[in-house]
Amino acid sequence: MRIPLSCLLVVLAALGAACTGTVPNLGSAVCTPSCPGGLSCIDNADFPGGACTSVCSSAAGCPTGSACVQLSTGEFCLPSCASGDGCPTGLVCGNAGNAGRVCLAAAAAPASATSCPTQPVASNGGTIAVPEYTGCVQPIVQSTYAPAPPAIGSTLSLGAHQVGETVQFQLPPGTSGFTVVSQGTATNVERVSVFGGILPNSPLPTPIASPDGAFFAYPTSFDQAPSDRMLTWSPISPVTAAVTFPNGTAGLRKAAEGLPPGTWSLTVSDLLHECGVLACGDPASGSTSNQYDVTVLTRSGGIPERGALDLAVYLVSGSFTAATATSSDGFRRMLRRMADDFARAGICLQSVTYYDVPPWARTRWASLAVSEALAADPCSDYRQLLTLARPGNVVSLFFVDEITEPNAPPGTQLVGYDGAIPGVSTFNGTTAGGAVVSSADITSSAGCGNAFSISCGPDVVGETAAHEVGHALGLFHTTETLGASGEDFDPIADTPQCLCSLCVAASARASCADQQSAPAQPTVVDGTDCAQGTQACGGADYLMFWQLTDLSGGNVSPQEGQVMRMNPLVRPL
Amino acid sequence: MRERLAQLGLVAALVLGPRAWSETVDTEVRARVEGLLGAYRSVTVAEWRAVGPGAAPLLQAVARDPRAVPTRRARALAALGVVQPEAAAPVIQQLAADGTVPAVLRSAAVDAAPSVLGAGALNLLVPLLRDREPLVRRHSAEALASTGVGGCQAVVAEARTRPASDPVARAASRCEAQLRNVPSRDR
Repeated sequence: MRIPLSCLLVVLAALGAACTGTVPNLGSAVCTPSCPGGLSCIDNADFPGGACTSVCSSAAGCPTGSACVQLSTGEFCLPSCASGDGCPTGLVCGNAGNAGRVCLAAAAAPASATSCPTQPVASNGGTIAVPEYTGCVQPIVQSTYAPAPPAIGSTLSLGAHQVGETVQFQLPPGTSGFTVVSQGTATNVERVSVFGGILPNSPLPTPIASPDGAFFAYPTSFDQAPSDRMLTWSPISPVTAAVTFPNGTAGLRKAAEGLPPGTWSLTVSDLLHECGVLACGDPASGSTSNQYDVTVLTRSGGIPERGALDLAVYLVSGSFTAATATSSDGFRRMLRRMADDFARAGICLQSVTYYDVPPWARTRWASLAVSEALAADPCSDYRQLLTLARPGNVVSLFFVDEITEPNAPPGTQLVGYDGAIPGVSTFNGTTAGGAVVSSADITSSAGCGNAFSISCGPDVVGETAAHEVGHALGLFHTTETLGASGEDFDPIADTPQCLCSLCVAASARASCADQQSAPAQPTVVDGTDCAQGTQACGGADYLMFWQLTDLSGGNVSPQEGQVMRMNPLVRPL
Repeated sequence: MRERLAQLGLVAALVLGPRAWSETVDTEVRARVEGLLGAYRSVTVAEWRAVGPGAAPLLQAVARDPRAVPTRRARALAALGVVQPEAAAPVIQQLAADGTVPAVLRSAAVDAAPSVLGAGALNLLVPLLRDREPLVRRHSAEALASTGVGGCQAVVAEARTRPASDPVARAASRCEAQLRNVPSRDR
């Protein structure tokens, strides 16, 4: 008997026999059998799979022997404990900041790796032929989306439209997802002043309406939990961007049901326009002056259990060529790491083509500077590099000799930088597609053994490249610098969180961003803070954690894998 | 004073070695440093300052550790230049000049040199304009260009001996514009 009477008398009967999620991949709002009197079945990012508990308020209202704890989705009564033995089945005894140790949901289990029929095949694609650029290029390109049989989708070119215009499109029966790609013209406004900062003026179709009513509208308030939103959008790339449905828990549930067929509509918009409602402070807020070429890619057949992915790797390097990469032990080990990570997402890495770039491109881009300001400029070297990608249904990675950051302490080197979340899949050659990865560590093999190590260069490059591909396929970080509750972004409920005020040492707790609105020097959550085995203090082992440490296990949650497999670049297997 | 402290730092590092350095670091500080060194994004000067000088021994150990990957060593060196510049100085001098060290790490040392070594950076960087590694030449030229007239004069002089495609020559064009704006008596 692992559920002590004291816990039953307080509020939380648990996961397991009393309260079990029934749809493992999507989470379930059903606790079976129903929860005992006075308790509610809570199935969200704090209790993925469902748990019977009760809410409380202002750290009060819980019976003796339990504590009212602020989790990411609200305050809940949780039994106090001294060790794991004192918790109901399915819960574990863990740190909860000032509340001491309480019974928390165990960290949701990551997905199991799929079995792939073959190892990835690397080949030499030769040198791409691109004339030297004489100015800034901002191409508007056509999609190469051509789903292999059986047909799983189509391309709907909706043409050029002004911000504010509403455009209709047809979704056929059996549609499970779609991607909207908006490509702006070179005369569009590139940046927006948002509450004193500068962000890229990223396009976003909103609202989107289904035949049976409203489907998605960019929120005017952000009270709703990210995982409850139908779509999550992040303004990362200027002028050109994509958004893929589904990209979060609520969307995955909807996709599993299937989307209503018929006439849908979207309204062309961008951050500058949305700033009219949000009162961002930009003088041009609400502007409808920008124009976008809009394409919708549809996806049918449900969420595939397994998918296949191809990569194009452009060697923008004075150190490596496509010929040497295909025969290099370091590159082979890097690909193995990537393939292992993708397998955990249910994706088989199949073909990898290495390309050389012309000498003028190597001279210009082998040493690349990246910063938020440069990423917000479509004409920066960083954004211009991405336009070298050749057409094709592949994720494009640009391996450069080094990535520097002009605003960081001098000497700082970065390991990777993504173009957008998601990348503009199947529209290779825009300023927003693909990602850059530093190849500086690839030959550093002194620390390579059988297991993953951050002292093994190919492992570091492989994990970084897989992380950037994760972004390109639609994933956000599971936890950011200030902890899951300090920054509101991850729309997936089954990824472990790391709530600063629950997970860090007592001495650092007062400066957590979830304790103060704007601490002078907010506490940062590290791998060790986020490796405690609970849903509230976990995630350091995940591919999309914000740091790469020896705790990194390249893990992917079941729902993260589903989001990746619904990207247009992933073919169902 | 800065040079004296730097020498002490170098001697201590040589005597104690990386492992001994790292053992002196508090567990919490170690976790913070390990995490920030592994961040996918860049870490700001303010974030490193918040970690404090207690991080210096570990950062120094990582920067010098030949088993660590070059980007990690570079980040450690950059951070060391923030949390304890006097400890960074000898590491910068050694790594920048060592032709057996990965070019990316040498370039990081070159980048950090002006802010850590001050005027002393010129003596380190000018010879590196002739380094066999193009990446090191490039960073040296850019670092010298950032130091003002003296650095720019060295870059322009070296560029005259090199083809236009050389990284030093490309940095020189910026320096020439800078020098044109300087009164002739100051050149």
